[in-house]
Amino acid sequence: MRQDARSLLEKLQQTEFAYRDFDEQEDEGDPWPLLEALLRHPALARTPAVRSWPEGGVEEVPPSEPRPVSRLFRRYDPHPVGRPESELPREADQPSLRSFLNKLGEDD
Amino acid sequence: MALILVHSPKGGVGTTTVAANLALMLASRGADVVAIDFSRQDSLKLHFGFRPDQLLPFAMRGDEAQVVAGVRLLACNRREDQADAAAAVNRWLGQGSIVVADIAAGDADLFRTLLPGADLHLCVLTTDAAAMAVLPQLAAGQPLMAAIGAQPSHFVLNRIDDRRRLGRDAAKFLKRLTGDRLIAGIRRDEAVNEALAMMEPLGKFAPTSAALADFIRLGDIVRDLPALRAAGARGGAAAATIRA
Repeated sequence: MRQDARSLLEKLQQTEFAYRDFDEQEDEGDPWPLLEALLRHPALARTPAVRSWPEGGVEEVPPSEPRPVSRLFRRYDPHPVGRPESELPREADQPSLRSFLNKLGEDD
Repeated sequence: MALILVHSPKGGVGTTTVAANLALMLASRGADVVAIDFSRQDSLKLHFGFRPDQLLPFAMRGDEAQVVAGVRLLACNRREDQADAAAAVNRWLGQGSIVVADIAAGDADLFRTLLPGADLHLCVLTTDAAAMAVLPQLAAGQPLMAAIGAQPSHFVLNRIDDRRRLGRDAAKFLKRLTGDRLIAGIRRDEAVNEALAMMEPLGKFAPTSAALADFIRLGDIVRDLPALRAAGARGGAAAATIRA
């Protein structure tokens, strides 16, 4: 840490600081193609609902066991389990990463 | 007693930094902590003020551990030692210690050997694009959370820089993806690098640094995880062992 920053923190009797000067709206800027691609990756798009750590230890989850995807990721799942292909959303209907991140912003 | 594996599928994300500072934080809270460097980079010691040319005691030779700030330090990073890595861990688990194992990204086989006996796996990631891209690898062909849901895996996001939009977006992405398995974030802080260059532990070199505050928080979170509490309750009972 720079000495001037250290001195200022000591003067303010602070032990840490956070950068808060560069906040911007979630819908600013272009979406990140990499995150969008990850969102559509089969391993991530079919992510089951996140569960808390089980009190009784780690729960075994059979790899082949069909589990419901989370509400959030169901919206982005290109191939939802158990749905006929005719009902699958068209590519154009699928939400973008921008809306995904906007949703996250609403959750904060 | 508890075994904590610190391992990431992505190299260069600060796994050793997290392992070292987690060990220090747990020890500062009064835990009996043993940190074992399983990485052939042999860099865990640098976070405890050792010089690069100094050797840590070897776990497999029965050496006395070197103690720094309450953490007993050992190395198990010679190829011949890693063939029986479980023995190095079991010795200390049998004495009721918390063992923090620093495992290099490239040592996936060693990680898989120790994982069945682990109480906690901390997977370190950063918001760098290359680190995010390894997420599907964690899934190993399964849905991600099914894969890690069957393991004691939790995530630590290292070098967070919320001044940059990608950093904020990637952090939110990972948080949403892994839910409460993302247990802590460590802010990007040059003090970590400077402490290494000064050959001093972060807490001594930069006691007011943002990263240190985050590591303290990480230590408290890890200590309170149900898996660690359960492991603590087992302490004094018959020692758990890991099958090599």
